[in-house]
Amino acid sequence: MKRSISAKYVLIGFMVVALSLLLTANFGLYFEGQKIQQSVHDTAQIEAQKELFSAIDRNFKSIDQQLKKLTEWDEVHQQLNQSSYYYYWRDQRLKDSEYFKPYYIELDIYQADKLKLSHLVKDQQLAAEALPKHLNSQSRYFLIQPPHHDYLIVSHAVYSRQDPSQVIGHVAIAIDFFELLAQDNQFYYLDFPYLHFNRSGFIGMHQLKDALEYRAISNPVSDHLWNLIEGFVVKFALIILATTLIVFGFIKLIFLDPLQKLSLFVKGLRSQAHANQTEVQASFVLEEHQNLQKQLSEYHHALLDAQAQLSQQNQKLWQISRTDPLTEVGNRRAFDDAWHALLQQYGSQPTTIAYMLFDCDHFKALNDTYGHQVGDELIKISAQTLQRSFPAGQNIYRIGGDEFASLVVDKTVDEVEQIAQKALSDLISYPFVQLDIKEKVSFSVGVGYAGHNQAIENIEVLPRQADIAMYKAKHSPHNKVHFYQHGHDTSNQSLVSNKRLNQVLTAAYTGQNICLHYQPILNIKTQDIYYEALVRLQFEDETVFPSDIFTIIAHHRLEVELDQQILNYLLSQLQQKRLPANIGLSVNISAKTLLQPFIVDLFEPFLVYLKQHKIVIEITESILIEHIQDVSFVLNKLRRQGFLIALDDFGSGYSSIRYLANMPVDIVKFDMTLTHALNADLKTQRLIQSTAHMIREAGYELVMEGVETQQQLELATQAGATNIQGYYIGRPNFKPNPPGLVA
Amino acid sequence: MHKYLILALCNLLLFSVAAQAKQVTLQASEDHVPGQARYLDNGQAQPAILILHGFSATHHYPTVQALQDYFNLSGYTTLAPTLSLQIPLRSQPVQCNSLHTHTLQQDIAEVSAWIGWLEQQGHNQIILIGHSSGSQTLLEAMIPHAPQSVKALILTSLFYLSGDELGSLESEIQLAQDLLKQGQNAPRKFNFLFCQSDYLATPESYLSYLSITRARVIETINQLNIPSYSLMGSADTRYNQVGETWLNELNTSQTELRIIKGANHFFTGEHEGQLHDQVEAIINQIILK
Repeated sequence: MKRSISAKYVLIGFMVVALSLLLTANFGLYFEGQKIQQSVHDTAQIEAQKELFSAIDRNFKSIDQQLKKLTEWDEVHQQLNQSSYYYYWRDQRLKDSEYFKPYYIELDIYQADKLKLSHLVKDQQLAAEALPKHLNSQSRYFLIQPPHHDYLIVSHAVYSRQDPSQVIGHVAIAIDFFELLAQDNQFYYLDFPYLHFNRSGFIGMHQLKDALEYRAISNPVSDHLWNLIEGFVVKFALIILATTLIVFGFIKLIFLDPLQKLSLFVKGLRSQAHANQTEVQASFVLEEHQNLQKQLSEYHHALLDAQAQLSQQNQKLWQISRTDPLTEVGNRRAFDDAWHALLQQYGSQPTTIAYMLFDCDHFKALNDTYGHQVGDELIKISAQTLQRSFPAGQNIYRIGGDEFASLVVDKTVDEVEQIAQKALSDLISYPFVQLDIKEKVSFSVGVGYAGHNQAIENIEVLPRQADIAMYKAKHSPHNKVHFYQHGHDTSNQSLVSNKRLNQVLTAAYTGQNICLHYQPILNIKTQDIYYEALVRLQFEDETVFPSDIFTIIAHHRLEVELDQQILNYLLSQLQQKRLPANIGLSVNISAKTLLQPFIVDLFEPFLVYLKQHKIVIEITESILIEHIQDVSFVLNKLRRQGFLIALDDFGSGYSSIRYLANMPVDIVKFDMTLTHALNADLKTQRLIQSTAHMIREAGYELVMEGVETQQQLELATQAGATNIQGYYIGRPNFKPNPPGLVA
Repeated sequence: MHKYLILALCNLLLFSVAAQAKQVTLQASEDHVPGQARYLDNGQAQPAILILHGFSATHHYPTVQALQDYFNLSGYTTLAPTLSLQIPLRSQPVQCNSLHTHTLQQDIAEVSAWIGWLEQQGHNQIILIGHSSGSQTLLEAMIPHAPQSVKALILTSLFYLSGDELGSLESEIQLAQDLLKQGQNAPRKFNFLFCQSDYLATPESYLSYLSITRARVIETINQLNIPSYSLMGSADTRYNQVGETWLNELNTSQTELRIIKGANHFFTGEHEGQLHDQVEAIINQIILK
């Protein structure tokens, strides 16, 4: 399951992310604004630079023009020609002339040898001078004398008017550079008051750009706008923080806290449900949460009620699911539970265990004969009788239609046998005639028993051992209580032998090692013989007989497969003409095969041999009784095709006389128990003779099996048998040998 | 008006034949700085005309230049010198507070040198035209004898330079004279004509021009050995100082006085043409003689 996250952490995470995004956007805006501000500043700086140097260039040109005019001024030439009164002229004329600009600090005339003209005037006290006594080679340079003197010194040669190639002197001006700039220019970008030189002394023109310190004037609109942006960014950040806190508080108060309270409340409800405590109600701001808590409480109580009811119903259902509705004793599920519980308990508490099975003999026939109501009543009485018969506290379970079981622990074998015998005695002594059942109702008991300290494997096989014991009891006319003994293993080794299991399963699936042994059936009157084909598995060192084969086949429900392999083998015998010509054959078909929809198709290949061979299909009476409607159609069709149908082992189970009239068979074969019973008391002998007579009267041929002596042959003949089969006539042989008797 | 139109047309017609202006320089002597003049040579068929500018001006002064151009177009050789005022090749007017070291004698010498220069150019008939103080300088230059080549002297806006009515202060004159006697010729500011309190000049220079008084002018006129003609504007503001009796005095002198009604000191505007007509009429009159 995906791990869930606490709402508190989700909320905190969401608020942190939202706050981060908003602050990022906010400060992104701030930094963008800063960039714009910087860009504006840079642009203004560039414009200021352009403005400054453009002004300087313009002023330089202007100064040059002024210098040129000065060099052409008559009075300059006058002074260079006659400088006797130069000082008077300079002080009283020059500074009042149009040539002397307000930003001039000093204007002086130099001789051709670059000596300052004023220095020639004797007895004159010269004031502080910006211009040098001798001009240097630079026609334009700066002389910076902090803090207040920033001079631009410019000079120009004065040429003779008579000989323009002759330099007769020089004019030099010391200019207050910043006043010059201020005088003739108006600066929009340059912060003019800030403009200054970053060094002092002589500065050549090539050093001007580096020596000048300048900056752009601050843009009041831009600065104000930037102040507004900064204020806005700070305010917005504070608003975001405040809003986040308010939203967080609001969500916490309105949603998160109630959610946690409700969660704790629900958690409390769960713990209270187990501890049966009274619930603690929390208080909420919102009415809806209060209502939700109330509804949860009500819902919780309703759930508890429903849970209690469900628990009761489950208990009831559990009980019903483990109770047989007819007998009200435990059913198969209850028995399995008890058995598995006992197996688990055995590991820690080893004890003796008796796995007991009770079965009503021929219950199906009784049910069919007297109806289901009688059959159900028989089962109910059987259950009640068993429950009464068993010691107190010992449960009886109905695990099948007429099959009951019980698990008896901590009892000796004798005690178990006493319990079984008493139960059996109570059952058979019950007056079932009250149910209008005319015949005696018998029961069989199979017991698997395990003593103390057995390996668990020996305990786990008890059900199978009880089955085997039940099988023995069923087939025993007198000893109806059978305890499983190891001797049973030998006779039922096919159940436990893997080798045998493999042999039989391989034969059923592939047909390998299947062979047929043929036992003769002699017609007493005509001395005609046909042979019952009996299946064997033939190996080099051994032969597997039907008792093993059919136990495994029945256990694995492979009757159809085996029948198909047998028919294939028989067909191949016929096709390969390994059987004598015109030989009659009888083959056994299981009840399951007879119920297959393709049963008629199975015998189709044999149709071509019906002209030369008598082919008899032997079926058991149980299939006929249990599925008379279904199989009648099939059997009659086969009969119409020319096959003969024989009802095998008549009398081995429950042979109802009422079927005889309408059975879709041609031959009835008495089980050997009936043949052997001809040697019993006269009453039995007569009853068998009467039955044989009725069968004969109904038009059926009658085969008596198990004729092993001359006396039995005579009794059979006397009883009305048309055919006899048994060791006295001939044993089964892999070749259809004629009977020795006849021979 | 028709007269002026015809004159203008004539000027146009003659323009193509008029002489090209030439800048000539001349140093009167080694003590003088070179001066320059505008010379328009139209040969010697007609008398050469020398036109001298007024106080502080140059030959570029409009009144002077217009006269020169007019008579150049009329076929006269004209020379308009600029007195150097001790400024080599002076080309610009001097201001009141310019340093004035020049003297009237230097001016006269330069005028004489220019007359000699014209004579050297082959002109033996020269008519002198002066304007304002240029008239006084020419007048002084013709004393005591006018050169033989000079045939007549035409004086326009003729006044004088010294007199109480002109603002001359006796105390200043006395001071200048004293300084000069003491050998102190350092320049200082004087009151001189329209340069009240700011005429920067050496005492020598200052005093040299103060010699031209009202009486001196009449006197020199009367001493001339060549005919002189005076052309005065009736609306000259100098009469505010000298009084219109000055015209009477002129009229009673040996000069032939002609008054152009309404003209100012510079004969500007419509009176420029009248000045030219009058001067031309005088020259024609001189030639006919």
